[in-house]
Amino acid sequence: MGFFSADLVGMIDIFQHETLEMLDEYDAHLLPAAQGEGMGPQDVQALFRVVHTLKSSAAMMGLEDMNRCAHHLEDAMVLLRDDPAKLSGSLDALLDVLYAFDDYVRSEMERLRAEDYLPADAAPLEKHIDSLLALLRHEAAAPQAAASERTWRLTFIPDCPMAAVRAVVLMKQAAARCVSLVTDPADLTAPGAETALQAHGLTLTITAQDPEDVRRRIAASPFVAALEDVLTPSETASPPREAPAAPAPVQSAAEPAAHAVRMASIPWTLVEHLQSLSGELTTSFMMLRSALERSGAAPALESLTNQCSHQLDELSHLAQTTSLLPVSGVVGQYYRTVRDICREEGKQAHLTVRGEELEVDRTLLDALATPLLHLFRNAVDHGMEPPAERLRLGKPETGCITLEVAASGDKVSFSVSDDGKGMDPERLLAAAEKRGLLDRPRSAYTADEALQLAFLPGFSTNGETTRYSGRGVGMDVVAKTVEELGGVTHVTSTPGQGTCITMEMPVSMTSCDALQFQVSGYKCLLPLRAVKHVLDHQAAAPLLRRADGRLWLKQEEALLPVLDLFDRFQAERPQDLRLVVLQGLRQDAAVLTGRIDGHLVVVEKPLPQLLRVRTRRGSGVSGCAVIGDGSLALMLDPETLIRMAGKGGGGA
Amino acid sequence: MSGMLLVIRQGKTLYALPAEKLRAVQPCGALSPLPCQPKWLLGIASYKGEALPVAAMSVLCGEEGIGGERIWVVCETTKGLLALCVQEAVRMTEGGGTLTPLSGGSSAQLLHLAGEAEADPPLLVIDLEETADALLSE
Repeated sequence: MGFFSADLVGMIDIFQHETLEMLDEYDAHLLPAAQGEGMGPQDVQALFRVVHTLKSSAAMMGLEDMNRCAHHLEDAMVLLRDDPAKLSGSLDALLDVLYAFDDYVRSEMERLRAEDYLPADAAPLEKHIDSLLALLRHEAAAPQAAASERTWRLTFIPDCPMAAVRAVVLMKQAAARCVSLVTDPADLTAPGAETALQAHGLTLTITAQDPEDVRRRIAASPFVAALEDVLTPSETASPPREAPAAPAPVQSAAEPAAHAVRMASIPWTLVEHLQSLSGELTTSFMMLRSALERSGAAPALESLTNQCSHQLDELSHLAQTTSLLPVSGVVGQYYRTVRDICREEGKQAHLTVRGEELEVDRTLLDALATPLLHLFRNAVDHGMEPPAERLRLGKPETGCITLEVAASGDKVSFSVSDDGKGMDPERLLAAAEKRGLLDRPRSAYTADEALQLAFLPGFSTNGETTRYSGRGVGMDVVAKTVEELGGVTHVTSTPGQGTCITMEMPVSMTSCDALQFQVSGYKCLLPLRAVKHVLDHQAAAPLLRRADGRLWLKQEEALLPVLDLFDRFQAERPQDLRLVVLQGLRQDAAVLTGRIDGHLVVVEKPLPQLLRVRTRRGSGVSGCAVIGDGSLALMLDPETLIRMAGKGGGGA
Repeated sequence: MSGMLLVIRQGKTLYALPAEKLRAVQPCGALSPLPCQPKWLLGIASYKGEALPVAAMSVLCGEEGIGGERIWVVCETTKGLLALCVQEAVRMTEGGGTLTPLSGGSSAQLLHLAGEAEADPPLLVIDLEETADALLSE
């Protein structure tokens, strides 16, 4: 018999799901404070609502410890709600407690389904909350900042896709920072709102303590073409309104509208299943088309197969869209990470996120969570100087860490930069030499190559192991994860000025257009996005050079290293050879292959776990895909091949 | 060893696999070779939409060159699915009592054995997890 009675077991899933959703909302309201932007009364009100709901659900599930903690926290939120001035003097202590509660509840949610589940002891958390309560009860009231009103006309970019939905999302985000927000049209989900918004835009009147901040955030959306001031009678006739002593509930026309948008919450496993089925269907269709061509029936069915092909493309696109998440949905934890490490290390840094409105595949965001944590840890621990030293160096006392997410074509990049002390190539080389990690004489390394040594397993220049770094595993994890995602990691750094580490990878990890070719008995594929062009080996002979014991291909003004796949695969080389010129994320190279069989859409499958690491590292095979005849072809990873070519891949 | 066992033959030896780990027994199919792989790997095959590694039982048990393998026995391990390419799937049998451990632990081959099950002739029971671990680190 587990902790939950039989009548409650059936409710665990829904309780878990709803609680995690509430915690996401809770985290979103902690974000401004973690970013150093303070906490507004509207955030306190929203946090209060979440804690209150959690208290009731915990009681219903018989989780007394969680219920008691939520109850005490609710008391604290009531004190803050009734006297927002207390926020200014106790924000750090408040954030610590709110995050501790978040950790406790999330940890309970993770364990809830375990057979031997018993609620964790919440006494330390309760003590923590009680000390906050004591602090708040003795905190003197401080004067409150005045709120002021603004009216703006918002115009969307021409042909803005789903302008009404964009408007709802923008207004919901803005409402969280306003005392009040009213829009015209009021109902953004009413029939005809889409057309009206496209044609006339949206008028919004806000009252907020920092209207300029609200304006900046709205104007930053890529869907907003303009946000212009509208002169209102209240602005000309009366001074800005004072904020009420006790804040009234947020009155936003956008908020109810946001709830009115018809949304569905479905388990993630269903999304994965949909994507998997869509992939399977694409593969089956490809095999069917191939069979039709072999049987000679293809011309008669061309119109039907073309129709199916278009529909499958659309289905595949939709399936991929279902897993897109805005980056803003996951950055909360990073603000917290930076804050926590700074406090632990006695440093000061402010995290700025750019490109948080971009939507990225959830699988990619999940996979990058750990590498990003390592990068933030390193930025604070290795990069940031202590405040006193920064002042002595003429830098601002608080350092600046930036996460920049950018998309270009079918690539997405995540860069973490800091304005800290930077990396010294000589120091990196000395540390790598000491650990026996250099594969050539120290003098043969360029400064850029020396910086990339930071990604080697076991590399660390930190003599001392701290709670956050120094064991030389973090950067290796970053490089390895990005490599598994088919991407590259790159570091640039200037001593005294800071470091920037960029992880760049393909946007989609599922279906792709691929070039099919032979390497003796091996059927191979390369993503078409990485193929610049294909040359006949014989015709390209005048462009081939042999230097430094390696083969190079002259292309425009550069000599590209050539990787001989026959050498690499220990396969017999035929007469009919091709050179496939690859365009990498950072550099280009060419590979020597056999006959080209054409191009096709494939759904990449991972290699069996038993073979994965050995195969990618040894031969550049990153996965496989079912091709027209039903057999498996090997998907090669362009970045690994380019790296191999750069290290000397031989040549015919 | 309780539960059912699948008896397979490789050369003159009879081996057994716990039936609960079995996913399929099927004739050998089309294989795609992979470059730069150890000898035990014959290639990968498409199995229910996934890539299935197919291992040569003859190499695993150190009896190369006998030939005549015509069956794939698809098994589940914590490292994913693994197909053993064997000469014959003989029969299903009751596991019966405890296994007689191999003196000095498992074999020195890639194939790891959990012990000998009582039968006539005796059956060498394969330890799939240990075997998968050995293949992973090979």
